[in-house]
Amino acid sequence: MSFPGLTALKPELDAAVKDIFSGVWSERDGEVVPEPEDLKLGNDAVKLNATVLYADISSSTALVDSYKAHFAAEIYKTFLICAAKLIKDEEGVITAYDGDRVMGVFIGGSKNTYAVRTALRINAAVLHTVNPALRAQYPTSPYELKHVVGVDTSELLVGRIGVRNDNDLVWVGRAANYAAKLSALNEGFATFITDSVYDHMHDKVKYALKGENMWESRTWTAMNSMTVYRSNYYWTAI
Amino acid sequence: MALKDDLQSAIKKIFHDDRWTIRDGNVVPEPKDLALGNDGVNLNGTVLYADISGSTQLVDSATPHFAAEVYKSYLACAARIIKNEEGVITAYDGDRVMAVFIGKAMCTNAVRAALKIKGAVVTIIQPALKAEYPQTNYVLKHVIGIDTSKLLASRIGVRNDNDLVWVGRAANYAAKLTTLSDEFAIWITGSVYDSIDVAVKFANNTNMWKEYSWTTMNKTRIYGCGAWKIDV
Repeated sequence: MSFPGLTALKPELDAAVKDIFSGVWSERDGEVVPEPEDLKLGNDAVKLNATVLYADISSSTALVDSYKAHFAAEIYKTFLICAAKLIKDEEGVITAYDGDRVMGVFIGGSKNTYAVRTALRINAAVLHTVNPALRAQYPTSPYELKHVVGVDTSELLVGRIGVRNDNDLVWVGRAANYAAKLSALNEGFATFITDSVYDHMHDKVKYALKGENMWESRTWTAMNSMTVYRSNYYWTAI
Repeated sequence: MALKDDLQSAIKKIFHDDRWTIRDGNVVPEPKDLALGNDGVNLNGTVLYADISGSTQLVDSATPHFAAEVYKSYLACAARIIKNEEGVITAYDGDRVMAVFIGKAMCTNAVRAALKIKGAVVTIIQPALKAEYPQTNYVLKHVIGIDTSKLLASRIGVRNDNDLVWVGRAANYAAKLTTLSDEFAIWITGSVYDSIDVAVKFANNTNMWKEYSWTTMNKTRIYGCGAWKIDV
């Protein structure tokens, strides 16, 4: 059996795929986070050392299943606005919104410290700004916003998918994958970072005011038993 | 204004000050179609997420260029097929794509798009990959998730970003379905299955879909399509 549409599209897809696999890569080191128009449609790429942050609402399925749509929308919007503004305030660039999560990319000498401080500030905003405002407006609602932020750092290759008119960058590299996977860990901690981030971040995001370490190590069994760190600390001043 | 005050006033505006203006939509909205406050569009929509599985192992073990070629091939095919089936791409996020289908045939169109993407992986991408890299034993695997429900689209309100939120069961379930086993390349909910045309349900008088109970999601009825191979 054949699908008429695919048969019609097949020559175009064959050509596109062949170009991608056989095309020669042109590549440069990036100093800024690229936008789609910075990259050509072929195998053009920017290489970056970058730190990736994913911020995700946890239990959003229970939220959309049990609450009114506009209530859920208010939760999504407040969380994503806080995350977006804090990412930008720490010199990160928002690279994707996707349903209920946001991806930010940080580059430069302090990328790990900035990304981790963003995560700690997002936790502060959720605990001390969003949830109190939510309780004030909906005093009888049992809903409490919980979220998870995942952070990893690695070399990344950024390319374009090549379908016109879309905001269509692909981010290839460990940090993009691991940060997304870390933000899906649902075990009662607001922030997860990999050991590569932990080992490079500044002491001021590692130790709390009285000198205690804010981070607890955990073995990530699903990911080759690598060491990751988790925390429920928040940055005292948003 | 300090950022804290800025956030506080933005949050108060959303929770308290703004009344919602919600209208029914006949097209998939773009960010510019929505005002920055509590403005929303209600749609009956079918959401498709297409995701490469094992992408972590791919980026861990292959060169970045090889991984990028695989990502680009998959996403380029998925995007073209989705558009060809009248779906609208609403987000690219790393290695996955989200699309929304509306209209009477939205479930059938979304499922046909998924079957075509599955066909493209087997008959277009994998052969091209093997032709260029005869030594590789990499096999592209992917999972597509589809659900349908009422959706509320609204803007996040941070300027200059392509920033719609999609609120509703279909957006969540479709994304979660892509994390199920890649033994089945396509997972759809019972609501989708019940609405699709027989042309995408049966092949050679055999039902392509196998029913399962999604234990972690209140035993929701779902269907997987795995063994069916498309001969283009």
